[in-house]
Amino acid sequence: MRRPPRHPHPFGDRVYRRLLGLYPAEFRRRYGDDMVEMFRDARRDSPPGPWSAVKRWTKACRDLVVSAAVMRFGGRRSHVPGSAAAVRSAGLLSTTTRSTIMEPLVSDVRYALRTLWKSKGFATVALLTIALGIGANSAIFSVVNAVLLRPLPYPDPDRLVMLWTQFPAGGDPIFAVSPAEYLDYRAESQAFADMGAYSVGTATSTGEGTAERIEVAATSASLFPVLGFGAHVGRLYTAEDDRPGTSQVAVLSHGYWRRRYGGADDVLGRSMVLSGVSYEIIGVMAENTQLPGATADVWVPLGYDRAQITDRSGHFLEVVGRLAPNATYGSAVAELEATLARWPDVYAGQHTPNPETHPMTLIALDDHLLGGIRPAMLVLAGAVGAVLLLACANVANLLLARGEGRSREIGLRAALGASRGRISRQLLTESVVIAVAGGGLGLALGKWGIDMLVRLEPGEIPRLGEIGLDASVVAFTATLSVLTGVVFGLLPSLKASRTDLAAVLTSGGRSGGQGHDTRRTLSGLVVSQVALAVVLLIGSGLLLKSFAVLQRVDPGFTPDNRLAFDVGLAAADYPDMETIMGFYDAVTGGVGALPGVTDVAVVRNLPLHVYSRQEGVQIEGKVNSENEGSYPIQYQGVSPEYFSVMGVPLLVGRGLDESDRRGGPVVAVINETMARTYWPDENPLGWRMDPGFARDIDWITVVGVVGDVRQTDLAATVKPEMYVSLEQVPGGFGWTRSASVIVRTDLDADALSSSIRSVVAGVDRDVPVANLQSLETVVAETLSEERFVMLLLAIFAGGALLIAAVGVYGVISFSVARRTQEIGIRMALGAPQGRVLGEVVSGGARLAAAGAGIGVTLAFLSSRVLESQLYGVSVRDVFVFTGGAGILVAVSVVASLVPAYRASRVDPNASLRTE
Amino acid sequence: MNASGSDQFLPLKPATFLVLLVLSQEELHGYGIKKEVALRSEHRIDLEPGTLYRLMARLVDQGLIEETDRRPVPDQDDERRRYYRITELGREVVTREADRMVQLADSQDVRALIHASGS
Repeated sequence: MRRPPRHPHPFGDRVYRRLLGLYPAEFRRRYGDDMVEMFRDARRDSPPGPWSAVKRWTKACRDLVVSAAVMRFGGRRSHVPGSAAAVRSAGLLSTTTRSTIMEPLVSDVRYALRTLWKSKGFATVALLTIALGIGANSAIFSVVNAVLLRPLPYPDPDRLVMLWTQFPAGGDPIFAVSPAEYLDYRAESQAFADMGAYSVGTATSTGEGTAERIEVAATSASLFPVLGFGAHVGRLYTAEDDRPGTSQVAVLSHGYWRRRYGGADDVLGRSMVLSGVSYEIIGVMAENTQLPGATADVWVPLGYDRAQITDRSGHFLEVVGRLAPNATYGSAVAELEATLARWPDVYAGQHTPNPETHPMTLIALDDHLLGGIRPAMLVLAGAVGAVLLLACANVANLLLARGEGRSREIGLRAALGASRGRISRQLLTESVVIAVAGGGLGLALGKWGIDMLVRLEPGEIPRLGEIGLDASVVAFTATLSVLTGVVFGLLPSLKASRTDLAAVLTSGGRSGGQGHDTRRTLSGLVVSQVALAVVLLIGSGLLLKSFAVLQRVDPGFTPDNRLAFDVGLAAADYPDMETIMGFYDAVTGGVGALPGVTDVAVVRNLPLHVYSRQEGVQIEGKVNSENEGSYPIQYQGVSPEYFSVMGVPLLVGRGLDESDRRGGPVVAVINETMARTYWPDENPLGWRMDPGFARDIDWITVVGVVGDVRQTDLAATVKPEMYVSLEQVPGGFGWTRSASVIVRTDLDADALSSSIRSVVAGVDRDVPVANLQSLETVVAETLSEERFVMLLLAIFAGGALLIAAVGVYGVISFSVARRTQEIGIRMALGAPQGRVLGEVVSGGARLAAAGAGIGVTLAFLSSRVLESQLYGVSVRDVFVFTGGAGILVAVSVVASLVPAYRASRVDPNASLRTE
Repeated sequence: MNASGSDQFLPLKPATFLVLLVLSQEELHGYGIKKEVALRSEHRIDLEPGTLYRLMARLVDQGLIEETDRRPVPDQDDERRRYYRITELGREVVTREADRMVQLADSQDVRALIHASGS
C-alpha cells in the first residue's frame, strides 16, 4: 500500500504536480507520485542556485509537454490507458476535416489584409509600434541566447565543475588553487573522471619576426581530455611532456598560428622563444578552442610533479574537472567536504586547505563563467519584455478605439449570420496579421539592433562575440509575433463579439451602448501602461544613479594626463636584478626626456586590473587569530616616483626613495586600509613584518602610509596592501620582469606612441610595448559593463515613456471625441473654457496617478532583482521612486493638454448640429 | 517467430534496451533507472520523468517489466518509491536484442568497416 509522503511538499513540487494535469488521468494516478519523487531526487543532486533551477525546470517542462502531447495526440504506439490512440487511429482527422479548418483561415487572412489596406494610417502605426517592440526583443534575445542559453563549447558542459580555494579572512569569494592542492585532490578524488589545471599569463615571443607580448596558457596535459580539446595539426602534449625537466614543447592556438605563421604547414618541429626560453612547436590547437574564461595564443605544459613540490602554498591555478560517470555535483561536494576534514591531519604543520580558514569549493563551470552576467541579462530581458507589453497595450488601445468605429460593420456581419466565435476569430486574425508583419519588420530592426549592441559593448560580456541572428532568434521572433498578436488582439476581439447588435444597428453605428465600457477598458490599459513604464523608469533611474556614484568613486590616483604601457623581459636576457633595473632606468630616462613628458614611474601591477598576489605576513608582536596567525596582504612593487606620478597622497611618514635598494633594510609603504585594519589604535610606522612566503627577506619595516588605491575595480572593497621598492620585492626578483610604465604627459597616447616605441626599442628591440593607453581609458573600461546595461535600460525606459505618453494621449483624445456633444452643450450653457480644459487634463492626470501608484508598488516589490547591479544606491531610493512616478505623471499631463485644448475650443453650435 | 513471441518487440530503441538491461541486473525505482541508464550511455540518454514513466507504462503494459513490493535495502530506502523488476518475457526480449546486436557487430560488414577506419 502506498503511504502519503512524509515531507511537506515545497512550492516547486506542488507546481510540478499541478503540471502533471497535462497527462491522461489514469497515467497520472498510476505514476504521478513517482514522477514528483523523481523530480525531487533530481533537485537534490543538482548544483545549488537559481540558474540550476531554471535549467531543471526548462528540462522538466519540455519533458512534460512533449511526453504528454505524444501520449494524448501522437499515440499510435501508446499503450497507456486513457490515451486518445483509438480515436486517432479511426482516421477522424481526414483531409476534408483539415481543409475545412484551413479554408476559413485563408479567407480570414485575405479579409484582414484587405481591411488593413483600407485603413493604412491605423495599420502603419500599429505595425511600427509592434515592429519596435519585437525588434528590441529579438536583439536582446539574441544576446541572452548567445551569452546564457547556448551551451558552453565543451562536450557535456553540464558535467564540468571548477575547484576553487577560499580565504574567508582575505575577503575574496574564491581564490586560485596551489599546485600541491590540485595534484593531491586530483589523485584522491573519486567523484571526478579527471581534472586539469591551467594558468594564463603573458610572455614575450621573440625569434622569428618582431617581438610581441602574447598570452601563454600553462596547462596540465590532463586538461585536454577533460575539456575535449584536440589538435588541428600535429599533436597536443601528453602526460609524458607534462613533467619537470622534460624537453620544452608548445602548441599554438589556431588563431596565433594563422596570424603569426600564416597557417604554414611546416610549423611543426620549428622552435619559438617565449620570454627567453626556447620551445619546440609540436602542434596547433583545433579552431575555436577556448579555455574557460581566458584566451591563449600558445599552450605549454605546466610541468609539475607531486613528489618534487615542497611548498604547498602559492595559489595561481584554475582547476576544472569532469564528473565521473556515476557522480553528481552533490556527491562531489560531499567528497570534497570529507577531504577537507581529513587534510589538516594529513598535512599537519604545513599549509593546507581546511574547513575553517582555507576551505575549498566546487562551482559548476557555467555558474562560474556566466553567473556574474546573468542578473544583468535577466534585468534587460525583463525590461525589453515590458516594452513589448506596453506596445501591445497601445495597439490594443488602437484596436479598441477602431472597434468602436467598426461596430456597424461587425453588427452587419452578425446580422448576416456570422457567429460570435467567427467574428472574434476574424478580428483575432487581423491582429495576428499585424503582429506577424510587425515581427518581420522587427526582425530587420533586430538585426540592426544587434549590430548596435555589439558596437556599444566593449568586450566585457562573455561570449558576446558569438551573437547573431540565427535560427533560434528567428524562431523566437516568429513565436513572439504570433503570441503578441493574440495578446493585443484578444481583448478587442472578445469585446467586439459581445456587441449588442440591436443597439448598434439602430444607433447608426455612431455611439453604441458600449462607449462607456470601452472607455473603461481603454483606461485600464493606460493605467497598466503607465504602471509598467514607471517600473522601467525607476529601474533605469536606479542604475543611472548607481553609475553616477561609481563614476564619482575616487580610484585613489589621478587618471588625467597619464598614459601606461606594459613591458615584459625575457629571463634569459635579464638574469638578475641589475639588468632588470638597468632596463627600467634606461626606459624611464628615455621616455622622461621626450618632449611633453613630465614624469615616469614603474609599477608591477597597474591599478584596476586583476590582482593576483595575495600573501600572509606575520607582524612582530601581533597574532591574527583568524588566519593561522598571519595577516593577509596584497603587495605591489613600485619605483620611488610611483606615488608622485600617480597622485597617490602620502598620509604619514615617508614614501620610497633612491636609498631603498637591494641589500639595504627592506621597507614598505602601506595603504590607509592596512594601517586602519591592522593598527587600529596605533601608529604603524616602525613596525616590522615577516613575509613568511619569501625566504630571501627577514623583516620589512613600515615607513609610511599612503591613500587607498582601487586595485581590482571601482566597486570592490579596498584590501590591506603594501608597496615595496621594485628592487626589494619579496619572493624573488623574477616577478619584476613584467611591469607597467606610467607616463605623466599632456599629450595623448596616439601622439606619443611612436616615440615611446622607439625609446623602448632603442633599449632592447626584443621588448614590445603592449597596451599603451591613457589611465582615463583604464578607469572608463572598468565601468563598461555597467554603462552597457544602464544605457540599454535607459533606452527601454525612454521608449516606455514615449509609448505610455502616446497611450494617454490616445485615450484622452478618444474620450474628448466621444464627449464633443456633451462638452458643446455644457459650453452653450455657460461653462468656462478653463474649466473644460482643467477637467480633461485632470482626467489624464488621474489615470497617470493611478498607474504611477501601481507602478511604484510593483517597483518596490521587484526592486531586489536589481540589488546585485547597484553600487552605493538603495534599491528603494526615495528620490528615484518619486522622480520616476513624477516624470510619468508630468508627461501624461502634457499628453492630455492637446486633446484638452481641442475640447476647450469646441464650438457649441457646430457640435450640436452634428447630432 | 519464437515460441514466446519475444521477437515482435525487436529491435528495441536504445533507451528501452538500456532500461531493460539495468532492470535485468537489479530491481530499481525510477530515479535509480535514470541514473543507471545515464551511466551506461555515457550521459547521452538522460531520461526525464515524463519520458521515463511513459516508457515504463508501455513496458508494464507489454508485460516486459512489473512493479514489485520488495525493497532491496529497506532501512536505507524511501518506502514510498515504487520499484520495478524485469519479467521472464522482458529478460528474454533483452537477451534476444543483445544477441542480435552481438551478431550484427560480429558480421563481416561491420568488421570490414572497423578495419577500414583503422581502429
